[in-house]
Amino acid sequence: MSQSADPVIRVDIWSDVACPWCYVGKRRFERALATFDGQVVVEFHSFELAPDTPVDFAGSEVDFLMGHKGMPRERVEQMLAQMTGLAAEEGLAFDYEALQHTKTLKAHELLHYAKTVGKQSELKERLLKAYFEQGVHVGRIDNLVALAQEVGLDQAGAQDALESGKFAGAVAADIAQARALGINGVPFFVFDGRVGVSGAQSADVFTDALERVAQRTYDDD
Amino acid sequence: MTDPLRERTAEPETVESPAGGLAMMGEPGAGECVDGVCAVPGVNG
Repeated sequence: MSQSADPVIRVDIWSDVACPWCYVGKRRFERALATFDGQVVVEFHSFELAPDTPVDFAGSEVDFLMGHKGMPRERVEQMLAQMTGLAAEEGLAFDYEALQHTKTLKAHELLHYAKTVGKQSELKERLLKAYFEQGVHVGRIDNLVALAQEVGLDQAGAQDALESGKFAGAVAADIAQARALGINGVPFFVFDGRVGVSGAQSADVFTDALERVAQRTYDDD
Repeated sequence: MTDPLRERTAEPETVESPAGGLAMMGEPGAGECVDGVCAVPGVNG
């Protein structure tokens, strides 16, 4: 078959808003996309890393990891400092002292609403920035609606999506699909349903995955 | 001397994932958050 039309590569990304590696991995993936000569469509899927987290967790990220995960303070502080440095290498200014740990279910519901109006990518970036760099509480509906409006979403639509909970099923379906694929951690990238990349790998790994899938797409035609 | 073009276009190493049938690429377990904990290099548990 002719190769006249560029094939469109589909990339499905499972990630959480409260996931530092997801933000770092997003930047690395974007670097690969910037140098890739082909058409790519990206869809984000929901994954709750810590679904037992209360919406209004009273404490810092250090408190959460010590109290909920039983990790010693010294190790937690080392981890967060190291993670902050790794994020800085990607141009991200993580602020763990300002960060407000929360349940991310509502943020995921909003991402599903945003997908229905073609704004998912913009909202994903806005939520990650709000959570990791700006200390915004992304578990509260009022804050989420304000962030939604910033990326051009309709205020009433976002409010209704969150208050009705009508996208909760879509969030659960994403998580069930992740389990079916054997995904236990995030970020997790699936290229054209055939190639998987687990974790915030280097941009070169993402480039290799894109090129491999593109080659297979041509071969299949 | 190695040929950089050949190296760049060589088929990357992959392994089959235990579930889902995906061909996996990249270093296993790198840059990942599992069950609310995000391991980072250089910090031992």
